[in-house]
Amino acid sequence: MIESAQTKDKIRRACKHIFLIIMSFIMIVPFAWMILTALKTNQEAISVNPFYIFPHNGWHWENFGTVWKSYNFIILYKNTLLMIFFRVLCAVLTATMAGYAFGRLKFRGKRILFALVLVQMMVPGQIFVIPQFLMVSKLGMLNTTFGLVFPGLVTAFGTYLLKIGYEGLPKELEEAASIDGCNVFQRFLRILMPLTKSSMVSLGIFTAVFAFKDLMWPMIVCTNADTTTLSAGLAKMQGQYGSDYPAMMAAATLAVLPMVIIYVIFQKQFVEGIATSGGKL
Amino acid sequence: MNSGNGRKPGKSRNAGSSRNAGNSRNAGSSRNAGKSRNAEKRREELAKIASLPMKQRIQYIWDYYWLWIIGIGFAVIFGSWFLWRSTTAIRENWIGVVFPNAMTRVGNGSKLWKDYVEYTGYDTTQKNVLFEDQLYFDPTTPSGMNNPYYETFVAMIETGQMDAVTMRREEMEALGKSGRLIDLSSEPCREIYERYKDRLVYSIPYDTEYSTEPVPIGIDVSDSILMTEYQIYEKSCVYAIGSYSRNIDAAARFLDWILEGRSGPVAPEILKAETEQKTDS
Repeated sequence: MIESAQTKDKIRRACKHIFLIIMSFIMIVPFAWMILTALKTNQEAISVNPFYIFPHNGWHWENFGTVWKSYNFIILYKNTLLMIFFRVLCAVLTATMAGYAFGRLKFRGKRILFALVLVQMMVPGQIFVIPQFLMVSKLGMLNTTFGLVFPGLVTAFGTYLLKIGYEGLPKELEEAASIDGCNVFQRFLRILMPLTKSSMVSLGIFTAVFAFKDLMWPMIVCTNADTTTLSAGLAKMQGQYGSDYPAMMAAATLAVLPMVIIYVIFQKQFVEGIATSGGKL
Repeated sequence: MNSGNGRKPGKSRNAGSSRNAGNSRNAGSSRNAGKSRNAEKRREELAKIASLPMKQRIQYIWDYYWLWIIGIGFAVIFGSWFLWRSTTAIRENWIGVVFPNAMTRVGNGSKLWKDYVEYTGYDTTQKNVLFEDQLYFDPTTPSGMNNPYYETFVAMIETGQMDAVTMRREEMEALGKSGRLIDLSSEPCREIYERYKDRLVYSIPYDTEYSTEPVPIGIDVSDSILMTEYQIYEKSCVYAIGSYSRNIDAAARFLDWILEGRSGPVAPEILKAETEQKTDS
């Protein structure tokens, strides 16, 4: 009896593992395909022979060198990292303060103002592109890091996320701090803000990933190759290397490197962030 | 009817107002007390800092106020840069032309760009000449427009950043239906319409209120230097002007140049007059 239960358990576990392996394989294949194509010749890359998974005529590492030389990746990396850094900084800073105000303070018109914030989440982002572009253009900030960061200065989603975070904290903490002589700013900065660290990290991760993936905005505001980002630079390579798939894949591999490194470093926070916010990247 | 609490409304109002007056008096006095306490604290802090030797004073200020110092420093640097950038940036364009699906490089800094700037004598330190060749979309199918490239194109045309567009004939006919290209029979384009009557390309707009008849939206330039010298497309090429173009004269000048170089280089006095006109407006 016990033996049969153990066998059943083993079979169940084996099935689970097989399912997970298949799913992992499905997830990994496009990424592996990208790297393997980057190491092939163009002829091998466009071959429809399914057995041509690995390069047959040697591993062409020079494809990476070719795209590295023809596109200034150092500048693309720099622009992308600067954009991500400032977008994360601004989003976390403004969302934390707004979230605290909406979550803990009492003031006239709070509900209407928060409804306005929510409305921003309900409409597609493309609606804001033209007014935002006109603002950046009038300020003379086209082709600058500020221009790239501009749409990420404030975030409705972040405000909502942090508001929920602040609302979940016990009132007694703030009351105790108040009795000890803390003013509103001190209560926010020293008592409550450190307790919403996990929400802030989640927001930071979401902002970083969305900033990295953002294609449309950098393409509109950055017409110079010196100020563009990895995503827009990569999109432009499609034109230059339209039929040279190994070069395109080599460029794509180089482009995802920073995100892979960031993920490896902040893996724990990534998983926690998804769990905390209930969102997907 | 009894008010419910057994009190006369007038009395309760009085009681309420006197309570409010008392509360506001208390709040006012506690605010004053708080202010004087803060001022006293500030005086004590200044006296404490002043009493320290120079080295320890700097160390003390840095230890306790580093966040403020960094914040103020950042604000000053950013403010100065913002001011400098917004006063020196080039906001206006001589002309902006977008070449979607171009097969050769005709963007900013390309041979076409250099040739045109040299030909017209445009001073690019005063205003920009924008040539965008990195957009790829197919307006002949709904799925071909469901991508960030098309959204970028729409943003560029609707903000008036780009004045003119070139595409293959069938693509331009499809794009013309969207209403994003100017009706060449309209008053601002009358001169172009008359001059290139034999080359017009028509399209029936989606907006049936505007017209149910074919509307002239483009000029066939398949025999222009764009095709013969720069080879940007195969088979056909059509030139159109964006509905929100602010530089229709410049767009007409570019059209003349690609077809025959007929208008000749722009006279310096015209360039000067255009610059002054833009500055005044």
